Amino acid sequence: MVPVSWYLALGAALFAIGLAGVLVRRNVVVMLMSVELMVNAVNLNLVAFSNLHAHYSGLVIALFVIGVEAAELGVALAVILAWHRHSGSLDADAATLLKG
Amino acid sequence: MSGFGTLVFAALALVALGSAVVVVAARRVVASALALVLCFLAVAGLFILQGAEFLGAVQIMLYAGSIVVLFVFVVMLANLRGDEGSDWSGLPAVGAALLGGVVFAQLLAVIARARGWLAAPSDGLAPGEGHVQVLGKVLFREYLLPFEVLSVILLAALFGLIVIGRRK
Repeated sequence: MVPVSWYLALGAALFAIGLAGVLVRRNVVVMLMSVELMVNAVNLNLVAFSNLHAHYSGLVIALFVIGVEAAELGVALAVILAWHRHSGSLDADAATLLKG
Repeated sequence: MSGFGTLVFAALALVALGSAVVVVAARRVVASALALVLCFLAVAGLFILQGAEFLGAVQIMLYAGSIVVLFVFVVMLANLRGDEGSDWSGLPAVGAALLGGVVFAQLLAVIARARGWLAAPSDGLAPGEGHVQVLGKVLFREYLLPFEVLSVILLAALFGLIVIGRRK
């Protein structure tokens, strides 16, 4: 049996990679992919703790996270497409409409 | 058996980390999307390794299946082709890498401090009944209301993206 702490360490590494990706990449699609990486890291932690406590709540919450993530991603990608039609760009730095 | 589990964990962890780095660093968005599939599959394997078979199946179906298809659709509709650049240069990249490293180090420190508590003996998720059976009971008894709320959220998202995605 692999120790729970290894799963947590892997989750931390995935989260850090995703965080760096969100901060560095300027392409909104890749930024969203990096957010997905972070969500996956959190799910990994939830399952690991569910395992540790022999309790199913962590699994159920991970399921909810996946469901909400699907809804969020659909809307986010629709917004990205609408914005791309409007501005012709997918660069986050080009979104300056609300800049004072 | 224990050694085999460790070996599988190491392989899946390597695949997950490597593909995550490719997602973040690839110059082509399509390459990022394909690496994302690999990462999701590795994480699904880790779920299954932990005894959460149902979640692994959901991960493969929803993430590696439909969500990546959504990403590829956007890449296709936005007509992204060729080299979009990776942005990994200059001061912002150094700062972000530093911040990511600091966050990782802090999380590791917390995990290391809690190691004694984490090493507590665990029964794991192996009850007498089937895994999906227990999960279904928990989901539809203790978490019935959140489950129904989730269906409303999905419906709202469906309407929302139809409205947003409509051409004027």
